[in-house]
Amino acid sequence: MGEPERVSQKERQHLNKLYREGTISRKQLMDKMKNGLFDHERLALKEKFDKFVSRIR
Amino acid sequence: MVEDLIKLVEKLLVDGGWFSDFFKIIFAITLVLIAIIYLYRFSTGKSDLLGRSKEEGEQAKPSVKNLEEQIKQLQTEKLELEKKAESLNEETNRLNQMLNESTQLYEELDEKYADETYFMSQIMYTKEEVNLAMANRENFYLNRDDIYKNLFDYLVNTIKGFREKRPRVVIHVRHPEKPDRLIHYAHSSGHSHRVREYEPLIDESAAGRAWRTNQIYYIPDIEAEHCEYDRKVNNKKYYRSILCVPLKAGDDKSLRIGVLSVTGEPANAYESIEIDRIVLFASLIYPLVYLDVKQKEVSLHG
Repeated sequence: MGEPERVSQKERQHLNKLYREGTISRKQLMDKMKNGLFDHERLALKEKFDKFVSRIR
Repeated sequence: MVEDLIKLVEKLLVDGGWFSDFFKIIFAITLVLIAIIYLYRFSTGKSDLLGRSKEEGEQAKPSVKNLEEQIKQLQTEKLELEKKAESLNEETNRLNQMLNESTQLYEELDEKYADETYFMSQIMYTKEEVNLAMANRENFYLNRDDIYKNLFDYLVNTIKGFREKRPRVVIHVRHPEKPDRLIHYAHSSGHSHRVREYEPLIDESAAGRAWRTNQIYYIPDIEAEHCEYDRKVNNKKYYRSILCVPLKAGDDKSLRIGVLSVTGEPANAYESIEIDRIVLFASLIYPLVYLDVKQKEVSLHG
């Protein structure tokens, strides 16, 4: 997995504007703003949980 | 060798020989004994006309009674198995329900976790914007309003239910000429131009109370009694909740620089996690506001 890239200042301003105007949802804003930053552990845990659930279903 | 044996048997069985007579007698006795045994067994009912044993037949054929008992036993076993199957089904359903509940709880937790990681990214970017503004003062003075609007977007976008709550942010600082009032410093998008005109009283306003006490002041519902709030200002009632956070460095009142206020359209708009986030945000932008206000004071007083 490659290192997530920081979102540029211009792109951030654009995303904030799009969200404020209602063009994108909060989830879309969150995903684009984070772009994987601070999210490694959460995603790894989610994958682990999904595997566990599929094993016992 | 074989031929010799055949010859010997032929000699012994020659009619009139002693062995022939002996053999006949033995054969006759055997036949008589068989006849006696047959008659005895037939007369006592132990065998039928063809000499077949009745006891063995009876033993081989299961009686109706036995069969009925076996059927009853099988039916009891069947009922027990059905009960067990039912109980296992109930257990499976219970476990499935528990699994569904656990999955739901996990998803709820994961959503909160995702929101926290998103907030982390927003903090990072807010700090970056503050750093850029502080490093490039010329650009900051030229585009101050836009820079603050952009900064407030980071705060507003971390609030859940942004469209329903319609949060608006404004910063007031100490009034340079009126000691009993604060004055507008910056505001987020969504405010009308009149926001610049409002100068909260240090006594009898929510922002004034936060300034005075140097503590957070949250009014979940401005219509409730006994809250310190300037009722004249909200005559159109476009918000019901207001949170005022002093912009400060520690508890020293001489270091406070202003008050950041966030309004929310419904009553009880903000949860404690959101209040914590707003307080953190206020702390992040403090250096930028502090430097700007202090510089203005210096220019004002020579």
